[in-house]
Amino acid sequence: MLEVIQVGAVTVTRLYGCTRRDQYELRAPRPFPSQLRDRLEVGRASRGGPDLYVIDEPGAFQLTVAPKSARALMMPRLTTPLESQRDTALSLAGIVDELLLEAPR
Amino acid sequence: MTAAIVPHADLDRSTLTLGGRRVVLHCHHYNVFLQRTIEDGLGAHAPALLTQAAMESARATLSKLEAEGPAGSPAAVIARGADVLAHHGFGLADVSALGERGGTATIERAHYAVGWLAKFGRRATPCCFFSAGWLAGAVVVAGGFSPERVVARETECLAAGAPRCSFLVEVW
Amino acid sequence: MAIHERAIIEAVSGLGFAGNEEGLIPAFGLYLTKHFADYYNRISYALLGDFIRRAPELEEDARALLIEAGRVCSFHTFGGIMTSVEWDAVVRPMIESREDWVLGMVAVVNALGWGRWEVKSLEANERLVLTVHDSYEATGYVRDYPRAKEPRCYLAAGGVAGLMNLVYQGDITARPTFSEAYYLEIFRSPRTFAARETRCLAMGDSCCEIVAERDPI
Repeated sequence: MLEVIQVGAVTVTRLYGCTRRDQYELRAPRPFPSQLRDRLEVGRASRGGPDLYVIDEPGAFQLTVAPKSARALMMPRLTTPLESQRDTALSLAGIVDELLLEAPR
Repeated sequence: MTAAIVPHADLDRSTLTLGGRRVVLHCHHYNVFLQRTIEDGLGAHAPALLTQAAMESARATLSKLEAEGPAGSPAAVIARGADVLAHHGFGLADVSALGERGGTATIERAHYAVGWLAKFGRRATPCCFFSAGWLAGAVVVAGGFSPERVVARETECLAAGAPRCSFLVEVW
Repeated sequence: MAIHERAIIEAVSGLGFAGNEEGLIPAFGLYLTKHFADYYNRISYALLGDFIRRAPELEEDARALLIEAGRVCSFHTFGGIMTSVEWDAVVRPMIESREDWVLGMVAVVNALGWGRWEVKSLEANERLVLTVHDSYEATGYVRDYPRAKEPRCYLAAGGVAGLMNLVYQGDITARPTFSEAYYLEIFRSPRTFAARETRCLAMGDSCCEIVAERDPI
């Protein structure tokens, strides 16, 4: 584990992947809202069902999401700089946090 | 990606096959650890074994795919070999400078190199014996050669500090 | 809910593992390959043959090295899978007991193309007996080599021992970090699980059978 960052209600943990890529785990205190997939799918490929889906942005990242477990893992592409990998993870966490705030408890 | 290079799954028997050969999912931890075991155990003999075994895998698989549906030209056979490599997770190979008379190829992010760096860090010598052998096997099938006429080696490796992995394939 | 193996196999298979535009397959927090069984078999049995040619008593050394590769595989691969997002979504909701961690992982293995793993008996914290049909190691051996006097499923033996160690010697339920120190802690303990293959297709048996027990063998 390299770093823990809080983005609102979302905890982002940066994990060592290899010299060119870290992995980012996103966790929240309650299940991710169902609207999350719709939001993430804009301009990106996705596959899987409602309990487990994968969002893929070529040249950027793959995000595997277990919404009911309130957990996701981002694996950035190796070609992306480490700093932009971090920015992308925080941006995704921001989207999750925003939707959590909007969603009824 | 053509359906011909996607392994067939038999969910009842828990098998995957491509070109009549078994395909199995394994991650970089096992792949590079097993390779290190072979390198430690066989020393100077290991690179030839690892490369030849990969060449045999490519030869057997790509020959069968050719029999099932000809790619159309030697260049297309080599391109199909590269497609298999990429679809199966070994990295995207640029084979534009590789033909039935040999040549060069590169892989920007080769599985074995990336896996080796992630698990063991940098090494002094190239480690992508599988990719080298696979590319040689593709040339063997493309040219209809007997296998001993084609040799391949990795000239530069990401795991040894190069910006990408580069391969030289020669036909004798 | 008990472990529903077919649902797990279909869910894992349905993830559609295929290289992305980099030609890599990120999954379970790992890089996967759809590798060629012949390749593993050729290099593994070549190592075995080389050691035997040097001295017949070195067969045991080769076997130990190849089983160790299987243990390392299980530690990282099974460990990675059992702490993955995919596991949380697909398998974890079915888990009611520690034994279900073993059964759940065996179900995932059955989506990896290794052949059909089937738990014959599981004695909590003590013993696992498992059969493998269509083991990729043994079927490859049978095709290319003469009948063996000793079993030949090294990856499977190491994998089964590793699975028991992750569940009972360590505590996979606590999401450990898969460090070198943790590996040594659970695999070098005097109470570590070891596995022996009691039947093998390569020896003429109808299937392969692996027994993992605490007693070092």
